[in-house]
Amino acid sequence: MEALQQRLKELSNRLAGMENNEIKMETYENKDPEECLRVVMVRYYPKCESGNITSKERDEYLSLLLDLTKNALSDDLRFLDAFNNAFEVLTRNKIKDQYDLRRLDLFLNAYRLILRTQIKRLSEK
Amino acid sequence: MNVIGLCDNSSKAVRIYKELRDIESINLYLLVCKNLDTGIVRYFLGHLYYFFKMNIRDKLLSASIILRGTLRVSSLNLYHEKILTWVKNKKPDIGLHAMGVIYKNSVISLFRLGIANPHIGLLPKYRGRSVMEWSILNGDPTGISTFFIDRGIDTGRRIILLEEIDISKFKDIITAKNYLFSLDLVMFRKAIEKLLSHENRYIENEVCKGERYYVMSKLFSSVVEKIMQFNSSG
Repeated sequence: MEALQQRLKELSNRLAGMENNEIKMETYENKDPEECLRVVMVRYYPKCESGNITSKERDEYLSLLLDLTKNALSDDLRFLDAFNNAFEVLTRNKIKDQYDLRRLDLFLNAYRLILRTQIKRLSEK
Repeated sequence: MNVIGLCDNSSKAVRIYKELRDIESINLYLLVCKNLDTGIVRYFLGHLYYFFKMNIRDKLLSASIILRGTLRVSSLNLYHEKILTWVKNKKPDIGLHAMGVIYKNSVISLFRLGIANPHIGLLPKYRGRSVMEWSILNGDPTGISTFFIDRGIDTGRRIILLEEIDISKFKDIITAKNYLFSLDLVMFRKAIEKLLSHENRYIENEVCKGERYYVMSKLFSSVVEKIMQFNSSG
């Protein structure tokens, strides 16, 4: 839990001054979360990690991650970890494109919601 | 029983030879060749690197097993017709996975029983990547599953051996993982001995009872290392 709290603090600092987008869960549903997670982690994450990702691919990566928001709120930690991984690689470099920034902002807000929910779950255990 | 070790460098081939050469009921062959996606220059540089890293005794041993026809070193890739024909002519029962590659059916089908892979996670629950770390995070035992692979990621239906391995003495992920990887030859040996025995029964890899895992984040890895440090301190 401490690690998640620390990450939430880091994330909140990052979000300070950015748009505060409310995440509407009904927008982000996925019929095949396993396949979506596979594509996120096998196709896009390695590209992003190595820095060989195009803007279009990063957009698809973020879009698929957002589709996993609901799953990341569950106790299946693999989905939360897809967000952890994405945060670690996406925030490493500066993103300048305005469209990408909006998408990143949505992702960060979704991630904050997920972290808060998971911390609450752990503290209730 | 005919056994072929499928390797991407001579050093691995020599390791396999040294571990398995005294099993009487097997004919052991070793193949060192290129992965499909490895460039020829990279392959040769890697090959040279591992060759020079070997001690003089292993260099001589590799030369002697080449001369005896036990070891074939080739610059061709695994799917080249000449390589496939070489493998086929040996009428192999078992392949030993020691290449960083996902095999196509054209290779898998050449082996009567299949290609054995020591996977550092306990199947069927833990498939995929970082499974040792995920097992620790979930409070589950760690270990190695030696199974016959198929085209999927750790989905082969026949598990030869499942062995829980205690790694509580290790304080960090890399050391613990290296320890589990270092047991590959022991697992190959045990798997072959089990297959040679008349009591062999496969354990079914019920894929529906497990999940596929992926590379663990730095955040969760740090939690795993804390758990490991706690466990190792007794």
